[in-house]
Amino acid sequence: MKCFLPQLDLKAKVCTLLGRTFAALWFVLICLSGGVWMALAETGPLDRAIATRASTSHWAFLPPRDPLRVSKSSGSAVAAANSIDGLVGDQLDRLQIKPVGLANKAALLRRVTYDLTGLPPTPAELKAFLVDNSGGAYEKTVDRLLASSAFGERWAQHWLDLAHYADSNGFELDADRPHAWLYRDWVVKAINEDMPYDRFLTLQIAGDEVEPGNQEAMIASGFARSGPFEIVSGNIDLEVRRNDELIAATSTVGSVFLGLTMGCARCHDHKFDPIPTADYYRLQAFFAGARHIETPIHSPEERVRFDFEKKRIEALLKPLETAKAKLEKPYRTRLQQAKEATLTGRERAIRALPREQRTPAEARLFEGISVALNVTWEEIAEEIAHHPNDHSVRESLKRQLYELGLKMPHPPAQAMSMMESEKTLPETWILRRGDTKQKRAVVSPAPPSVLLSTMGEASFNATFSAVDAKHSGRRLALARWLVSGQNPLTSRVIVNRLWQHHFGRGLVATPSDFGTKGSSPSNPQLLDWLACELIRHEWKLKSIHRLIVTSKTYQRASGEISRSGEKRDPENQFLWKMTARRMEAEGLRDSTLAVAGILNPKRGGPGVRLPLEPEVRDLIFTEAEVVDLWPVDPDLKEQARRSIYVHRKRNVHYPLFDAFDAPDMLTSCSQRPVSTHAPQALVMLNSGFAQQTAATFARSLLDHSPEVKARIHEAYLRCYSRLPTAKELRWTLEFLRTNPRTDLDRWTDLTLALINSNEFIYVP
Amino acid sequence: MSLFMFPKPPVKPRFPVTESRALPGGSRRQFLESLGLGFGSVALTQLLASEPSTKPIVAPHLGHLGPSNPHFPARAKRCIFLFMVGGPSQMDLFDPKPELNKLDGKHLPASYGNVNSQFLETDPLCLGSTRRWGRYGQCGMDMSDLIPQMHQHADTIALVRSCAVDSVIHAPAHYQMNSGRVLMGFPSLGSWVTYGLGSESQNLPAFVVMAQPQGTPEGGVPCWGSGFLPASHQGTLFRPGSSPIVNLASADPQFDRTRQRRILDYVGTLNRRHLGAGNSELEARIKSYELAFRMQSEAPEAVDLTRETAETRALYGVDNPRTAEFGTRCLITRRLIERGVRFVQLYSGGGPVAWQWDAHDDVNANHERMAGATDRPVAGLLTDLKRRGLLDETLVIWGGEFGRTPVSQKGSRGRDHNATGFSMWFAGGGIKPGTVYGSTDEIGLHAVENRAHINDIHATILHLMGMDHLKLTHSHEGRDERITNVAGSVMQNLVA
Repeated sequence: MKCFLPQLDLKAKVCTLLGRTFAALWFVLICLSGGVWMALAETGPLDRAIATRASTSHWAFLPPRDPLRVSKSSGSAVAAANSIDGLVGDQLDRLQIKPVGLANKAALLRRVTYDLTGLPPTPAELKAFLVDNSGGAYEKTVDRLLASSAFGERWAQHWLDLAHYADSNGFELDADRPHAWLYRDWVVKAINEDMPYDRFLTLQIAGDEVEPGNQEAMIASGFARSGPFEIVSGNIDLEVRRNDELIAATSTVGSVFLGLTMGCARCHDHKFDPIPTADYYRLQAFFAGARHIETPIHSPEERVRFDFEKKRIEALLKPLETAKAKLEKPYRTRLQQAKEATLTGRERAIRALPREQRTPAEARLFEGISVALNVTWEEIAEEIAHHPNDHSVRESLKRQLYELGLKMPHPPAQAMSMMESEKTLPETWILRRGDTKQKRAVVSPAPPSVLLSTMGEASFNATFSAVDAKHSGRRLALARWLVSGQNPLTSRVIVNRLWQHHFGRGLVATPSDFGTKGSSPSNPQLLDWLACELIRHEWKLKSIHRLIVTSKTYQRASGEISRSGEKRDPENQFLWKMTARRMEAEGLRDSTLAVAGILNPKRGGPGVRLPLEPEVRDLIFTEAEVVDLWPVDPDLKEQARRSIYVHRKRNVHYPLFDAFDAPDMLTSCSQRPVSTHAPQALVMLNSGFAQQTAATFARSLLDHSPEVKARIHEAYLRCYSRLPTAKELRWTLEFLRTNPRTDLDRWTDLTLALINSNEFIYVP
Repeated sequence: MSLFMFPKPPVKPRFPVTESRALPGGSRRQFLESLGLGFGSVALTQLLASEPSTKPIVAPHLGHLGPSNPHFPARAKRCIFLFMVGGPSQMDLFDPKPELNKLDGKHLPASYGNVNSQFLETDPLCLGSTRRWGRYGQCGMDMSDLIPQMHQHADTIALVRSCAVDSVIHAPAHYQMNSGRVLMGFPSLGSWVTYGLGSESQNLPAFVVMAQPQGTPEGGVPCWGSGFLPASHQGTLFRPGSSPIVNLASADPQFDRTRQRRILDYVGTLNRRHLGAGNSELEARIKSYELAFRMQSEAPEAVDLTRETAETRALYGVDNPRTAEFGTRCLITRRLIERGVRFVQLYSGGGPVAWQWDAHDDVNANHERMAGATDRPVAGLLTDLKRRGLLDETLVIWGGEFGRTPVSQKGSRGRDHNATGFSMWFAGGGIKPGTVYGSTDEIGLHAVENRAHINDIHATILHLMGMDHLKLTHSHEGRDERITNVAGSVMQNLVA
């Protein structure tokens, strides 16, 4: 033991030295070969063979090798009941790190319940688990959690982070996407049904090709267009816009499914990975025919009902609009006259000219002068504000119009698809520096050349068979290549994502970058074994979840310390213990509602707008005169839905989500940061959500029992999955006794304190 | 040691064991960050990361508890960005064009090239400026009658007449003026600056944004987003009044300070029991609650203008209904700067078109209103910063996301968006005062001399604040990102 450390240091130094030398050589190689690729990309012909000359020995580009089948030397790996533990244990043995013991049952239940469902266990679930001393009690619980709909509701959020899903377009108008939720619901359902990952992937890349006409497939195909998209009027360069669509699809598919930062290669050969610019455009070429298409997926009856209801509301709106216009008319006239009085002599002369006598320039100026004479709503509103009677009538009309408008029916469902609809496919050009004006050479669809080289050219069938007259089969070919089983990245990338969300960090710590600049796997054998296991389980992700959470590695205590672990692996990369984790924003909100007893388990449907702090609501951008841009559902039960069902706008962020590191949904997010700062305390102490939920929690405790101690026990069980210690009970009684306020206030203070405590916010 | 893993290993741990030993302080870093109130006190993370190195980027910080050191001596310690949303017209404010007036009402001569704009027709008509012009200060800087109070500051500011961005659409141009890119999701200038320099204030955010009360600019919240930098570097919205920050005041007034103190004490008791030995992340959380508690009394003080003299309030136009709103925000800005806030961004314009510099229909009517609301407050801010000795170390920036076209939009009295040549000005913080940098062609359409692309402008701002734009980087999805993307050079002639 004593000689271990110096030895490790020496080894480390040698490794570092070698690493740096290697990095330097690598850099030179890339620079040299980059020049060749660029020259090729610019002049064509595009010979794939040359592009793959760069290192094909990077671990992630080679097929995963099942360590248990390859070598028989790793003794404990074979012996252990769950191979995860064997592979982790082997590594810990090698590093001479002693793992800590297992977590206690209560902590374990809290961990696995939050992890799989995003919610805390109820006191009843806790009691049932604690009294069940049968051998398979934990495994039974895991199966129950995996089968619950809450499982999909939690894990879908991880996927939506990658898709950077939101319910609005972003950019200037940030218009709502009234049908986006269909995709969100599809993800939840697919995860709950344990849809095999190969199918899950195929439907999202080529849903329209694999199952033409299938509504769910059309919804799923919207994956690559879940991110922001600019829609504005005016002189828009359609080619640039189309290119932006394709960039979004290509980069997202590259980073999410392949774990490669393809986007970098759009403007120049990738600096670090063997991905020449041509490879980026070859990948983009798969999507050349796929367009944003809204496909109606409602019945004719639904359409008729919608039209009827819409007309009915419009008929009710009409008289109110007329009344408003009538009220405004004298003001409008007066304002118009005032504007006319400011016309210059020259402008008057142009206005006086009969139409046929105007030169083209004068005709234009005539139109322009009319624009300047337009009276805007802002001017009318300002003018009427000086006349209290008319002002209040106008305000009331506006309010009535607004309230009627809220009754407009939700438009009948449409799938936001990404699909082909035309026979002929546009050509894909390599663009110099990504500029649509600088076309260089035409490319045809092909996967990244380095992978073709490691997998063999035969792994990809370059002659597509058209699915039908409108579907070239290009994206289907890409999907089939991705899930062919020989692909070294697809399975590794997804099992690593699962691992990441179970342990807080992936075996590869850069989950969307498996390239040469990404992290090396902390346990390569384990990663490969899981990847092979996924394929053996026919791509069923739940079986991987089950393997992970039933492993001893997952069940280790988080609060215990092993000296050797602390010394040799203070960051716990090698998993000698579990690492406690702060809840994510959505988990925190859902858990708070759950312990208060008001979480509404209703599933699916259009997103719910939560009440928004006035500071944020008042600033929502609009150029129109709008009564309220954030109509909240008055039904409090709707406001207590799970966070996955909350309406998420790209340009309007909920302070609670913002403070707790929810992603901004502007780019694909593979790993959320965990920050600690004062605005978190402000939102959890001062927001209407925290205070009202705490009060509801308090009321449910008062109803729970007349006994003070029983209430305290219940509160601790709900928040911490344990009873208070004698000391804590004493403090709590004292805290309640010395509080001069009403009973409800006293208990609200307690519940507010509990939901702000570290033990609630951190999962053991 | 730490019980918590660092959430986002920023570089590739090529050799896991060494790497983890070299990165002892993921959570320590977070702890440090939280000491600065989480508004970004950890900085210059990437001094050593400009090449793909295996060196941990966190290491350089471990010695710092306070604000980090810049790359080289900074001329400006703080920055105020006065953002004129919608695009002010250079031809009517800072860049007189007699030639354009001669062409008024005529078709744009082909010799000036194409006009790329959002709504323009293909053969637009020229629109002269009807403003009265003068030359002011010892330097004789041109300014129009729209900004009479700024005339006295001609020798204070450096005017750049050759600015350029890549989009003529508001939102992408907002994003680019703030983040260097026309896309959503990249860190804004304020985020980069606080990421690089940290916070000087223990009780206030390092990066404050004050929007027009009528609404945000078109680009919305992402204009001051932190992109892939830690969320603690995003801009914090401030507003005048007793509760300047969201959730600073209790939603339910029943939760008074005594009651909150009791709750916090109980939380503290629970937390201390739960705390693992030496767990810095959990310690940081405890501290963040105490800071939040302090902030509730100290942040309202920062925006309390009753402590200012009548003379000062008048200087900013707080006593005049026309200028009161923007004047109030300018005066709060000075108070925030005095209290160590690193970056303040003030938006003039947002929400309805009537409240933006977006003069499509009638440039005079629009600019008389917008300049009328901001001229005195802006000039007052410069005067006040100067007389208090704050201007030397404070960089003040004025400008919109683009300028306006010398041609009219469809024959109207208004101008469309122009991204290829427009004016911005800079003051204080190491800027060469009384300078005019760059120029546009004879009608103000394209920059023709010393073109100042937004990448160059950002490079210069960072330079003045002591940072090399090539070195202020952050690794994201396999790429070392910086605000200037793949371009940008410092405009040395602007630097004193």
